[in-house]
Amino acid sequence: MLKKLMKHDFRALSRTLFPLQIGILGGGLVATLLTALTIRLGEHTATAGGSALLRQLIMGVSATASVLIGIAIMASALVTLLLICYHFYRSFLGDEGYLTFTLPVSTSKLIWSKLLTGMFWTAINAVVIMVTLLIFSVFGTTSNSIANTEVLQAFRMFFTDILPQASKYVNVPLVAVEFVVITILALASQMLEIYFAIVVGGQVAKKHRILAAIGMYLLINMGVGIISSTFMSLIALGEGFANLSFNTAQDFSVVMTSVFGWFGVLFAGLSVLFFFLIRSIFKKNLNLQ
Amino acid sequence: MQSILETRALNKRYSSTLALNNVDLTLPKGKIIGLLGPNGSGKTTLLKIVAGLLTPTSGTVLVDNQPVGEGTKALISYLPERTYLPDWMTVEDCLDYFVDFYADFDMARAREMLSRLNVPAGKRMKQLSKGTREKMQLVLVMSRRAKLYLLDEPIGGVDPATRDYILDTIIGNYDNEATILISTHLISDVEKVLDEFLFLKDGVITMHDTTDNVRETQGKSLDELFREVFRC
Repeated sequence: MLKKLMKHDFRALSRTLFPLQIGILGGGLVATLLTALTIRLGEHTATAGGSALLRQLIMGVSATASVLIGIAIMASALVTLLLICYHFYRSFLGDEGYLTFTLPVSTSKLIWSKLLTGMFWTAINAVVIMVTLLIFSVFGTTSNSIANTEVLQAFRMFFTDILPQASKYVNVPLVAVEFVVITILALASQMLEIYFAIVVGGQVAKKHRILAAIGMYLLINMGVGIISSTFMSLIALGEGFANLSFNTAQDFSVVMTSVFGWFGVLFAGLSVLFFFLIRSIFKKNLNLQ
Repeated sequence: MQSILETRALNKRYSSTLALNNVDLTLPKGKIIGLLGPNGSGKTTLLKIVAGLLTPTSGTVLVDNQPVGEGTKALISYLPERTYLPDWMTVEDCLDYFVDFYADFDMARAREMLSRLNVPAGKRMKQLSKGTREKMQLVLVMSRRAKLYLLDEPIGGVDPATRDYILDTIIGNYDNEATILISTHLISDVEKVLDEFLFLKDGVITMHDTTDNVRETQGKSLDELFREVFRC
């Protein structure tokens, strides 16, 4: 049943999110092309001895394009998140809730489906943003050749110099796996925190439920902040981080690996907490208007 | 006789309003039952509790001897009084959705009903009129081989000709083991199909009888009795 739920949730989200990602990529390509052209024009004007004013104008257009692409990319991440949250709201608290809550499916599966599809689209959005930025930095920032060799060189250096150097001090595959796991847990806990705020907002307000959800999110987020800082302070005390010396890179990497691990525990704990709170409200206090 | 729905001391309170007051109810299998009462009498609340959309304040509800949950949702086919299908879904998407989740969904029956009711297959819900969307929902609900159908105002938003077809569909498409609980104001229209009726007033069941008994003992139609009992 979870597969079927995910199929339909994925279909519902793809309707708006797929064109949005294509739009980001397309917008990024256009901005890259525009910036590359304006840089070349600026260079050409400079070598041809053109006016400084014209050169400044062309460079201004280039800079504006770069800023716009940045804003569009930031906005796309926010819009993606908002669309995912709105899908959750409509499926559970809107009229569609009459369809969702009468399905012969467990409450846990309903939440899992929304969580996994939401995380999937957030990850897709992150990949699209990174690819767009990569295209922009490689093809939109040079006038000497098609691709910016400095950027390519930097990428090459990361794999040929930095990673081998880093592997002398830290276990790179372990850190990479740890980073991926923590990112997934952080994303899950953040998404479930927002879902929980939406659910509680729907419980406390009969009207203006979206506004109530935003208010609840701010409150819950404050609570999460207090819990997180208390937890990490206790961990720091318990592990005796304050007394550790950071004389060598190894010392530092051991502490960082440990801190990362505890962050993972924190995010996992928060995810479980929010999941069961949402489930409990849906199971014991559902009152669809 | 085996029961499909049982409620015991069922209460539902909305802040200061008691929507259902100590409702004790036993509905048999294989009957078409009218849930009748004036506006605000608690009909929709009762159906929503049985469907699992509202949590009762107190009391118990058993559907085929099971408490309301995942298991009972597979037995119940519920038609709410509002349109709940997402706007972007096409008629085909809706059929696909019901086939995926309900093992008892009869696709052939759904297609036949859609064709009879002239619901265009390729259209999205937002392109359909309110009446056609209601027909679509009714088709989806009645195309299931459910044990208990909960129909909240199934004929409220459609024209009289379609109303007759819908009532014929309701009678013709359910098997003898299933029970249909219909909430409606249009008593004269549904009276002919009802085996039993419930009168609900201010959250209290005031009468539960067979329609034949009303005609035989009181010499009245159900519509006349309703007007008499609920006279303003």
